[in-house]
Amino acid sequence: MLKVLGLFLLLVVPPLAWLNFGFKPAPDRRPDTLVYATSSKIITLDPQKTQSLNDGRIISSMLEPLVRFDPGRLAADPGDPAALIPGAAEALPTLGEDGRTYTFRIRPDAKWSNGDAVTAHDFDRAWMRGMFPDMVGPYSDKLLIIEGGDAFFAWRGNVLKLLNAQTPAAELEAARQALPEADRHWKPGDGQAAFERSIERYDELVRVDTPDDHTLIVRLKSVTPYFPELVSFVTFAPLHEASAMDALSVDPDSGFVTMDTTYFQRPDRYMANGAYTLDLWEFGQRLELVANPNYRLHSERRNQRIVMLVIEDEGVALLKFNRGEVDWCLSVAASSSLASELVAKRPLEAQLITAVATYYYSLNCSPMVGGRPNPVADVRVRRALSMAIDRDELVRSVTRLYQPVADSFVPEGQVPGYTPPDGQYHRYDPDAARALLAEAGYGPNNPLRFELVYNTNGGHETPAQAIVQMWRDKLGATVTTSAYEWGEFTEVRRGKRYEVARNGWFGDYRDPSTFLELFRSDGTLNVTGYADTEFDRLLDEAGASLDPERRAELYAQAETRMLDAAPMIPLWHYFDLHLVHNTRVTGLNLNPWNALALHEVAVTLP
Amino acid sequence: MLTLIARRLIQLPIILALVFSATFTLAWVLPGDPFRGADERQVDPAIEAAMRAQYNLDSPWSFLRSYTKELFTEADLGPSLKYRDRKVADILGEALPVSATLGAAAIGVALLIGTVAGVVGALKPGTALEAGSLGVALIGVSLPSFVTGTLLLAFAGVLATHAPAFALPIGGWTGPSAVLLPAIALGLTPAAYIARLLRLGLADLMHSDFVRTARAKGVSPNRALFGHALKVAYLPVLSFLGPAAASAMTGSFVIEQVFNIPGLGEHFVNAVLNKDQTLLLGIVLTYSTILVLFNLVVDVAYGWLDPRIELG
Repeated sequence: MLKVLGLFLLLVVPPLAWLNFGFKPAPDRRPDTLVYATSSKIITLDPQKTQSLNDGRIISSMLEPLVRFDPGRLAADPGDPAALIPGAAEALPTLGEDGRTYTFRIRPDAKWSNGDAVTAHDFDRAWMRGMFPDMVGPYSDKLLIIEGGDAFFAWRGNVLKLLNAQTPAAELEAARQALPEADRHWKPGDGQAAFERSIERYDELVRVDTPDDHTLIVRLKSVTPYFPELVSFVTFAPLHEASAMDALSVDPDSGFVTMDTTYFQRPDRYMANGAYTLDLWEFGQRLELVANPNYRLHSERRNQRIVMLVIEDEGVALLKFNRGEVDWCLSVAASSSLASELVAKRPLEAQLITAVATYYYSLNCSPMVGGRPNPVADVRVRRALSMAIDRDELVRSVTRLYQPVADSFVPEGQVPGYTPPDGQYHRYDPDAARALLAEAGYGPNNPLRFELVYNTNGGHETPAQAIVQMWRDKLGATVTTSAYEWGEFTEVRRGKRYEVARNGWFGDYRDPSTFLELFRSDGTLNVTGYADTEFDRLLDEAGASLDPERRAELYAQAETRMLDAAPMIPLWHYFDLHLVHNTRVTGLNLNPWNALALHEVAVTLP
Repeated sequence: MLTLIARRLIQLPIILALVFSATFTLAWVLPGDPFRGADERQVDPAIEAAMRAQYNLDSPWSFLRSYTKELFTEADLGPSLKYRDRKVADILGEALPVSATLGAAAIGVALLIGTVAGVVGALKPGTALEAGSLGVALIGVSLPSFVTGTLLLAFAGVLATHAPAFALPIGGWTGPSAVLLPAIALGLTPAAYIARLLRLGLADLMHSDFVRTARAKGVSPNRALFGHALKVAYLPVLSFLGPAAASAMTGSFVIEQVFNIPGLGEHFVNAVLNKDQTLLLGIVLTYSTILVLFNLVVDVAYGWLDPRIELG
């Protein structure tokens, strides 16, 4: 046996020792450093490809968009119109007479971490990447609101079909017909030439103009009053043009342009125009940012280094927080069973921040589900279900976090100039609910029966069971429940194979449309089958209006219509839980829109 | 012996091809979407289609074609579909040494605890020591590793507060001191199996002819045990150790999660949940290769330890 053990050690130990056993020693804690913990890994640091808030925290600390939010103002009033402030641009954009052309002036003194000047081209080329079908990311639809974006996206898509030898003949012919005469000659192997032509084509079609190095003129395909706020998204962040374009290469087989992904991993390649540059990224473990001395606010910064630790287990995260190894901890979710106790016992450290988000149940409005008549297709049943839920009781004794209860879809006080309507069918009124249900033909002799589906993990089961009990007690309904793993759950919901389904929505930008567009009849996100042409018309009219008051009024009308038809049951607005060592960390300014300015955060070690 | 090795090495690609086909099919029909975030958002359909095309996911055939082409011509496992800045080979390269170290340490712990408990149990039947040995086996088999892991972690927390001189890191993979607790948590279950195998084996062997002969020739009880019986009693342990070592060294999701260790097990589970097909295929292929190779090592070691066993 000793021989075997010896052999085993001989085979295993030397290669492992050569790899240092995979150890990554933690550097000593330095002063002037903010250490924060999150529960999820960085997915990508490519600004045009990310879709996660967690990635966004790091990216927006490295890449400064044209405009950004002031976290201090948002913390004081999330609906403050003045919270949007200039970033890489020297002022907020000016709007042209057509109502859809924005002009940004970039600060003449803005610099990249390697000393190069930040120019309008850095933005233009980064946005261009996000509009190439072969490089698009999940949020590219936001870039495609620029005039000509769709045309370029379609043009390049067709060229790619011509470049790919595997394209079926019928598709190939359709693609060829859709292209202008001059572009029908592309064939497999022409990838490089087609890429160069695509850049020209982008410049011809897409209305992002750079008359000089510091001016960026953007024309949108339609009026979008919240565009300046949208530009604060990381999707609109710049990339250092020379190095980023250098990292692009063309796949000779498919003609696809791909970016060398090590660009985003290597501190020497990934240039920053924001407060920090990348210093170290150990995948799935830790990421460190270090002060960018070329940042315009460098002299005002209050820390030199940011350390992000990935800690998935909330127990480990809490131990590390308690020991002071972590200053700010995002690893314990508000839905965790630890949350209510932490909030009760350590109110100064455990901070609940209202998220711009609504927890709700989707009600399927389709007449049939799975070949059987769908009882919740009846609007009276849908209203009754909502009115039978005692939301105050849910947040008091089920979630135990006292979230703000919801009677509308858009959360109140978060969107400048918008007051959501009070949903008259979304307040607790069990008598009226019973009456409605009786009117719909349900009662003791014909009890209402349906199924509620929700996803596993995330603490959805307890509220679901409490709500099922309310429906049974108040309405005599027989409700079965099914839980699905996330991937399958989204498919069940998207395929409308449910009667009542848990749902939730986080607003992206400060405009009612970020919520209400969800219920557009043909919307890809509308999983309820709710279809109302008047609702769609109100959205269209509001969307095209430049008068803020008129806009708000039209959106409120639309929301009222939707709430009255009740394709959803609003329940409460989410909380985010932050654990902050309040005695050492100042300037974090946590706010509902998750805007951050990490260079403003000061950490005083005890 | 050489025939055995050659035959196993020829079998390896066939086994890998079968495993690959099964995993490929299952991964393709798995629900989920690597491009979808953790929240409710859905990507615009035209953009989603373009993103799928970027990774040749528009049809199983085009994915299979591009994947196998990259695999055979460039020995590249492709980019992870979820963590798109990372290549699967890089993720494996970072995670495998971590899991292998932890697994090897856990097997070491298992052998140590298992041998002591097994020998003591067999030599002192009917005493408190045997009860102790049985207790170790019982705890190891019945307590799930996330319970022992969490208890050990709580212990580290107590140590850090009350005896800072002996403090162990709370989770993470920062150096040798971070290995101890997860190795114990991970090694306890195999330790229990080893203890049981040894105890049963030794109890029989100590009364067998060759041990009695050795004793009659004046060999001391300890020598008879350690020089003769234990050698034979280890044979079943060895056949258990092959797969156990392969499984321990390719990562344990639970232990890695509890101790915040960046190993392979966690990637494996997340790859399934994220429908990260390239990462999943990469891990399964790696795991299968290691399993086949470890079984080969065990077979070779068998022949070496017990010349009665014919190899070939």
